[in-house]
Amino acid sequence: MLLFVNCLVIAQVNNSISSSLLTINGKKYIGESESYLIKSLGKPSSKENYFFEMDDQHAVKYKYNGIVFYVVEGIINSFEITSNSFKFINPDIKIGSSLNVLKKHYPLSFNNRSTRQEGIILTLTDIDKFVVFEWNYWRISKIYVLDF
Amino acid sequence: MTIEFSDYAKKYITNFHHYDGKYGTSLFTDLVKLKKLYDILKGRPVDFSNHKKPCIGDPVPNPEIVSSGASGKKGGTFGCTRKDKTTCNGIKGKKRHDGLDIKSELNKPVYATHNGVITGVRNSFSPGQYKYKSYGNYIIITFKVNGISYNIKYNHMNEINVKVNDKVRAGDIIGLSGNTGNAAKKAITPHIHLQVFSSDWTKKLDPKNFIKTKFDSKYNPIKSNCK
Repeated sequence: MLLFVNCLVIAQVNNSISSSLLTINGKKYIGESESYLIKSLGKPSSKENYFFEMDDQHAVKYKYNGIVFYVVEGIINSFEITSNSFKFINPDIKIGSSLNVLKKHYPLSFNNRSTRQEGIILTLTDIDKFVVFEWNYWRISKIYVLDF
Repeated sequence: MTIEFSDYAKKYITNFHHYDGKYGTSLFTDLVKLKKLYDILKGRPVDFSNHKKPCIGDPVPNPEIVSSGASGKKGGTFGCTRKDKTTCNGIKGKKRHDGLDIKSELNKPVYATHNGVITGVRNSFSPGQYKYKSYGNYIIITFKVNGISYNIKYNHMNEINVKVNDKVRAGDIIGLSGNTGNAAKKAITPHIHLQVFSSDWTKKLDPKNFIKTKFDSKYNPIKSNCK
């Protein structure tokens, strides 16, 4: 039995969650429209063109204070959080939170963590994206969702 | 970056060896040792001639398809094979993947899959340099099959050992695999994102039809006994 459990742990290196749980201050954004984004957060402080070379698509970076969204063909593709104004998934997960929070919620990913830069990873069960928590001095310093 | 002896250095070493065998030999040995040390520090095999070669027609030995997360190995194949909040060819929840992701450890030799000519190179990324949604460093080979021209592109390379207009034969080492561009995140298994295009670049084609190793219905390689 112990060997079986250990094999399971080895097979799943990181924790995984559904994209429906990827909320920012309680709201889902991935896959939502540009108009939804503006309705939720207001007009961005700036916008910047960004080319998705691998998709041959022109994206736009919507920059707010402490959070950036990548929007492609009017749909939110990914985002990056750098401010503690935004609670991510759980009320206790935000920039500046102790890594012990991630240890509690995502122990496999926590145990698989590497350097600060690579961070702690969550894979998604329903879409081909992943979540990265970068950390510094045992605190979350950046959170982002990216495509494989 | 590679360390190479310039023509001047080679001539200098040769002349030293000729004029003062003992000193010249020592200098040459030191330089060879330095190059070997550099290669070791960079994690590269010192002598690629001993490195296991792939079947002619494969980019790496024993190619495997890399998983893309929720879609598994299917997401590493060509077509509307990935899952996202998008639509691909009218299929909701699907996203296009325009190449074949072949697993490859970092800094291992990548081999030309066809006889052809190098017609494109991008070598502006440092090894492991990240850029979201970018192909990173790449090599393009133009080749012919049954008289029809195609272009094959090897992406996310860490090092490129060819230049435009070089002629290559299938089985030649063209560079070292890597994770430049989009691939430089721990969550992503290092791989070569292989693409194939029509000669006029208007059509993207399925790369699995252009490499030696074939894959079964579960995307596992079907081993061939090539020599």
